[in-house]
Amino acid sequence: MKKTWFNYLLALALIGLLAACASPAAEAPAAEAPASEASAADESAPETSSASAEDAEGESVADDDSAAMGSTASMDAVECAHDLTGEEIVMYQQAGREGPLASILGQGFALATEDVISYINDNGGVCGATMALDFCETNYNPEMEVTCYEGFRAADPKPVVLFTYGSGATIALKDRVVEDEIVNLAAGLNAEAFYNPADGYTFGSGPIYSDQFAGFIQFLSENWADIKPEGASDEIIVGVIGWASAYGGGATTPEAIAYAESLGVTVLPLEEQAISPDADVSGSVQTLALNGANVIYSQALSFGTAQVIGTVRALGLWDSVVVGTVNWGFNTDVLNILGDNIAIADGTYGMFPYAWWSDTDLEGVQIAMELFESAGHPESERATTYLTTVSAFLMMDHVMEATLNEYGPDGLTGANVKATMESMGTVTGAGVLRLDTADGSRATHSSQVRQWEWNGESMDYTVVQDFFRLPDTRE
Amino acid sequence: MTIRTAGDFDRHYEQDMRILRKPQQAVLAVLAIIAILIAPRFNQSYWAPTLNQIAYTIIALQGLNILTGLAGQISLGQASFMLVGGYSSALMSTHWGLPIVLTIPLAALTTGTIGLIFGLPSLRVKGFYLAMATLAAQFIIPWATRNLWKPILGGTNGAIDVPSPEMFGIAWKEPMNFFIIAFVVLIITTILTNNITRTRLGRAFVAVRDNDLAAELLGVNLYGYKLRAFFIAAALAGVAGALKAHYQRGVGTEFGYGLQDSIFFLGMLVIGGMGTRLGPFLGAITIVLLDDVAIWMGELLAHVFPDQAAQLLTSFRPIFFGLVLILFLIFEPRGLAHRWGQFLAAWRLRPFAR
Repeated sequence: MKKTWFNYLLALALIGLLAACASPAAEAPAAEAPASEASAADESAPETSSASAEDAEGESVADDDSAAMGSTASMDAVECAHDLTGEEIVMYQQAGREGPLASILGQGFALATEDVISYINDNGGVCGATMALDFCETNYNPEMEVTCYEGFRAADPKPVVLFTYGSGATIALKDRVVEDEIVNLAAGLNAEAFYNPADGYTFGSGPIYSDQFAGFIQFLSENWADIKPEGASDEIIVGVIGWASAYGGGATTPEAIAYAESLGVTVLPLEEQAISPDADVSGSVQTLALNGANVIYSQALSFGTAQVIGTVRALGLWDSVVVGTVNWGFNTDVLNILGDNIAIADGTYGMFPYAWWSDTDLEGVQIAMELFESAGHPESERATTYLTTVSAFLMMDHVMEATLNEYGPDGLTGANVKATMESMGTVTGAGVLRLDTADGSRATHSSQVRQWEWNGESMDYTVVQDFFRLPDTRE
Repeated sequence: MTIRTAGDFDRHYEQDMRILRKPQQAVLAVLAIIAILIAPRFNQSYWAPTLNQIAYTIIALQGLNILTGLAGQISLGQASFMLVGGYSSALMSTHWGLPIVLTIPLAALTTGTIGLIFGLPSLRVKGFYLAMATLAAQFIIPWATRNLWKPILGGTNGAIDVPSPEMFGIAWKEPMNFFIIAFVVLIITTILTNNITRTRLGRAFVAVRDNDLAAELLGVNLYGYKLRAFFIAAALAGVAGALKAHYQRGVGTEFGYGLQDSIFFLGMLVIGGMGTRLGPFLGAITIVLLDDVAIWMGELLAHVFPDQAAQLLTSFRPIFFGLVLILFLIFEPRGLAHRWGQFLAAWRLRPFAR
């Protein structure tokens, strides 16, 4: 009886399996796309391109950068020369929204994409064409990233823009997108994947990780006397705890370490952290402390950064070290994970190459706030993810309109989108994101440094260093 | 259990030893091969990458089946041996310019040798303790690729580029074309592993698995055969890793090869049928396709229960696979291969089967 029952169950499962797998890779309905943190569209090319002529010597260019980021150019700055009403332009997106690593992007990812695509379509679309989204789940598994990509590239018409998340995807697809001439707007900002090959198609909204780390070193070097822990020596010794992946190792490139050494800053060997919500970093923290680290830099995000902060606090080392983190680690989801213990993150520094919700003078922030509040999303999702996703899609809307104007409806190809972005020099996403495309660059080269400050009720994202030009650590 | 219809008997020893005993079976096999090569072209964007993944996964499982299923030595390091094979093939292609037809067998030899090293503890320990020893491989090898010989192995980037095969002017980087290579290699490894199970070597493995003391008393060199099993398993993992590396055009810890993959391989073997010829095939196909089913079900549940969407999306997949494994362990511990054998037997014995 048990065997018969099991046989029937097995047969049903087999039929279901065949039925489910007969369809192509998952296709999401239009406007169901998580926010891409990569790629900021140049919303007002004529105004922002002048700001791209920054000081190449690395001096602070806060005014120029602030002007670029603070552009309040109208969303309708790009006048469409063609009317594509009735057409559809599909944006392709692959990310891990399921599985143990789903919390990395969280629900804000999906919510923001849905909201901004609806907003774009309600405001004329892409020169009249409806923006749609095709999403593929990857679980951040490289095999699934490749599978999803192969599914996308077989589409007709060929994809123009692809959004990916995770350094694994950036690395796995870096050569493929060049062959297929598809612009990859990547959130995985690994230097090797970005600039190898040199004429690649991978773009990022934030600075590559090695630039960010070098910039943090520069900030420490210039402000050490003011921020060093009590009793700390004048020598800056930095310990990096990074995920055991290309992302975690993305900061401590030879170029970044050489830059640190040129400033007299010592960088200890990288301590690896398991990519797991219950990883233990106490050993790494203690090793760094024993080796004299007075700065701990977290090259992780989400639960990874939360683990470092919590462990440093728990070991009683918080007053002995300066804790900093990369841009993706300086996000609300880290605070959400800390929950009732949110206050322990007070004092953490973070690289911040984009605007924040408090920058309400920026049009992109205004739009994001309007979308967020009208949709009634939970406050826990008011994070970098939502903001930068909205900005990224607004940016791509205008990049594509600029491409259409330049090359015509039949010229909307990945190669032409890339050429358009490169010709702009600086591309911003409604003032929130910024992408520098001059001099062969395909990522941002400036950033703020912010610090979490607990005000008793919530965490403020206080600017401690306004936008400055980051060291160029490209190979 | 092999059941033949009345009147179907072998007339000589060679016929009994053949894998394809009758002409009809050979014709069916050829037709099946043609169908497998042609059918995916109807939905290339999904089936081509999926079949490539299934092919090299089966090869890795065939190796694990030899080691764990036949010889009874548990290994938690199969994914790390794939990593060795991938790197070997990649470096030989890149630095020596060798074609894939040479790099794959050389990668197999290299990985088999590495596998021998991690098989050395089998002299002294077995069972759970041997599993811990192979677990060492799973940690040491990925660590070594990230921290040693960084200019060659990629360092903390976690990956190096691997060139696509270049032969006969065909664009092998296209998934459907690459599948031809993977399928040919799969056929070769299937013939090899099937022959292992039918030879003295395979019988010695089974003897070691079933009762190593009795096997030793009967003259089976335990240590020697255990090392052979480790070598073969690692070599096949090396073949699988080489195929995976050339297909993905990259190799390194950034492309997986972690402990989770090794555990999944064991799970696939349990579900497919440990120690059986069909086990690797059924296990790999089931789990790879179930992955897509899990994604689809997770999204469906998230739509049905929007308030718990975040938790469902995060936790559903591992729970789903755990549940599948538990159900198999409870109701069919001998795997799908055994269940298939029962179906076949019931069909042949009809209407007397019950």
